[in-house]
Amino acid sequence: MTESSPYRYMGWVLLIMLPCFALWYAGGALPSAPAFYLSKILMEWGLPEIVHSVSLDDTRLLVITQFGDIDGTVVPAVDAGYQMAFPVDTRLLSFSIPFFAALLFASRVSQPVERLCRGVLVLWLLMTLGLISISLKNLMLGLGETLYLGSSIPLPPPTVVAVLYQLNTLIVPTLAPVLLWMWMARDSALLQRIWGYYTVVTPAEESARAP
Amino acid sequence: MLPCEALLAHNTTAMKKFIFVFLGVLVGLFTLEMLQPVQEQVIQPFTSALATLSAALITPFDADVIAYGRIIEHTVNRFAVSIEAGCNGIEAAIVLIAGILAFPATWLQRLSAITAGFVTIQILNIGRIISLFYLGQWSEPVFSFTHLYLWPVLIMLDVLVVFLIYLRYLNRQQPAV
Repeated sequence: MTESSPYRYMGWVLLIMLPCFALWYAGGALPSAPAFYLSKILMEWGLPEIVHSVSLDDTRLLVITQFGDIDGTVVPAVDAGYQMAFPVDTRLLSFSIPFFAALLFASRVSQPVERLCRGVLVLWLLMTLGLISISLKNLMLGLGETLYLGSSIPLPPPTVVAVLYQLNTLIVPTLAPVLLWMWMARDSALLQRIWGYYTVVTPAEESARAP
Repeated sequence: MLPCEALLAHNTTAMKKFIFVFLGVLVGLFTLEMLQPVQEQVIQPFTSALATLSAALITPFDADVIAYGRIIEHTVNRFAVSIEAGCNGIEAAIVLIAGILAFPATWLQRLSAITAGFVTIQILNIGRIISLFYLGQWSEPVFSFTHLYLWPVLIMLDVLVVFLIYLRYLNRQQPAV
């Protein structure tokens, strides 16, 4: 088995995942803090008629609305006497960070910390999109047509919100780290071997591969 | 340009092309999966079959387990799990299929890889369902952690390892220039 063996690489990933996930879990809401603040700014700015405020409750992002509920009917919070709030577990999205770190550190590339920082910046942006799409789905289910009637900015139709929600919870948190790793560690021994054959190999490139 | 730089530039171009095709196929397949007729005719029956198979694998060791629809239930302590979207391995299979289709190979190689990949994903997924069924009876926090954070990563690692092994196989099939 060589240094570029997928089996050896996966062994390292699983090993490195342990401390990475332990640190991430111990960090609570901290790993998702930039994404939380960005989504807070965007939702409070974009949906002021719907969203009263966005706060943090332990590791949960809490969207506090301008509405309450009386006998199953959505009414203004003043009439209901309370505000409906919808939580989102930030860890549902932020586990992409320790996963990406494990993939990257197992690749034995140069300047891994710098690459990690650049990758985490992208992950925070994707997490922001994820937090917003999950919150939109919660608001859509909780407020119904009040969301669309009350919003001053055009919102995606319900089917698009549903697909975005599914995409951002089921696929992006696990797939984004893998794609980022493929890009950021493309000069690693493992990926060099794999991508070298993607297109037709030219003689010049073949000689470049020769030891 | 130095040889290693030429190789890196070549790989970068190849990777850009791969990621572009991969994302296109991924979004297409995912949207297809979300369609109501596909959910009703394919996804939900498949998920129910997965629950039945999981229960059938558990029953020889634990006779107090039954499955109905997408639910597996323990008849003594009444603990039950329902297999929902994201728990049936379909999304992981879609990622793998998109990756395989985006990489140049013959259709026979692609079909073989998709079949083998789908089987390995489902084997691991049944392991996930059974492990979660028992972890849930033991500890709710451990169940939540493994269900929400750990198993999704392990399933994606499974997809990645199948994909890397497939690419290594393709590399070995490549005739020398």
